[in-house]
Amino acid sequence: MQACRNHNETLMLDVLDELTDPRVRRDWEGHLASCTGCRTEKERMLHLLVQVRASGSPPELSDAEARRMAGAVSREFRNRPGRVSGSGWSFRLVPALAAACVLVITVMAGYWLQDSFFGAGRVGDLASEPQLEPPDLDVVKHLDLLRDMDTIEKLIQIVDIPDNGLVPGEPNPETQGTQPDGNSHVVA
Amino acid sequence: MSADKLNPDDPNARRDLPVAPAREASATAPGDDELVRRARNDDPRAIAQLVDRYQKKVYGIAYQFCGFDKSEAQDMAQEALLQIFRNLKRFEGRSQFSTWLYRVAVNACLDSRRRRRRWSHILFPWRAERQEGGSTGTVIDNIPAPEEDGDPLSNVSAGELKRDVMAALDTLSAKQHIVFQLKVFQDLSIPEIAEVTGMAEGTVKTHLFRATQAVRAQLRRWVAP
Repeated sequence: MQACRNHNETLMLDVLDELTDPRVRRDWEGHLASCTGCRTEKERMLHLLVQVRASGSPPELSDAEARRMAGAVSREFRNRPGRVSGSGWSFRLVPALAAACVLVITVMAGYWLQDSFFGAGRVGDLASEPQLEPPDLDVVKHLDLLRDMDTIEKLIQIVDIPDNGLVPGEPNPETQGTQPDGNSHVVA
Repeated sequence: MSADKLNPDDPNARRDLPVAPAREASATAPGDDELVRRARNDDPRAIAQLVDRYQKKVYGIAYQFCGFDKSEAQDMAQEALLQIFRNLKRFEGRSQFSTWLYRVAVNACLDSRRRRRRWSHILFPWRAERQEGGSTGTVIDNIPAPEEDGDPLSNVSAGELKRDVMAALDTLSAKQHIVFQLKVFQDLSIPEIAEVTGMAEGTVKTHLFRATQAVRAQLRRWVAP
């Protein structure tokens, strides 16, 4: 048999022991006396809540567990920041000292490792380039001078052109194909 | 609302309020306000007493938030307790200390769960997919240790029920989950839940109603005929 729908909330409040209004309680009890469905549902709900409550009850803490938890809380409370105690400053100093040590070690390690990483990189770069021979290095070193010399040489050639307009060293087209003795002949 | 108070034979029994630990303490033990005042002045004994007083409650919240895993709940509870004592100076005394503690603990557990799920998604995506699929392990995984109960059949049954309850809770929205958990497992009243969560009482009631209906539907195989 179902409970009355219009009494669902009152039923729930009764089951949860929250029916505090005396008038509502009196009416509800009058209804319960006459309604089998609501009475049965109330008993079911009470039984169910007993089961739910039993399944959600935590297992007892052992003395050791309780002491451990209480000890942890007390320790935390004793050591909290802002609390002034005789040895408090020394405990607060420990993390600062540790941080300073870590910083020093990091800086030193970075300094040492700098050579390993960056130094090795530079050596590697040089090693990968083709090595120049000493004479080649001289050429590179005096490249400007050589260019100047080249320019001077060309200048001399231009200045030293004779009146016949022939460039020294170039063959004369008029004497080309003739023997040194002056007899001209066509060269086949 | 303890288990026996949900007994059908005693439906009108009232539950204890969350300040119960303070009330349960002996008459000579200092109250929460006194301990909080001393803890804020860095009194280690007051801190130890507060931890001792609320440790199990925070552990309980964590256990239900982390999917009923004991070791994870311990870690989460420790984080939540640390969060509580780190923020102790912010407690202004406008509400009961227990209410404020619930609020901080719930938020810490939610944060922790979110963080763990994020890491779980990154590190163990196959496990996260399986959990999203509604299964949080095999039946064997969820069977309690044999020494907890001598009856193997009841062990299997308890394991299955636990798995089904977890799956049912996973179907709830975050707000429904929190409200249902604070009501059913932590036994807070609707006004107290409203104070812890910052929601209006009507909203809490609506979330609670929907969550109860959803859990009822999900666990219909466990409802007696």
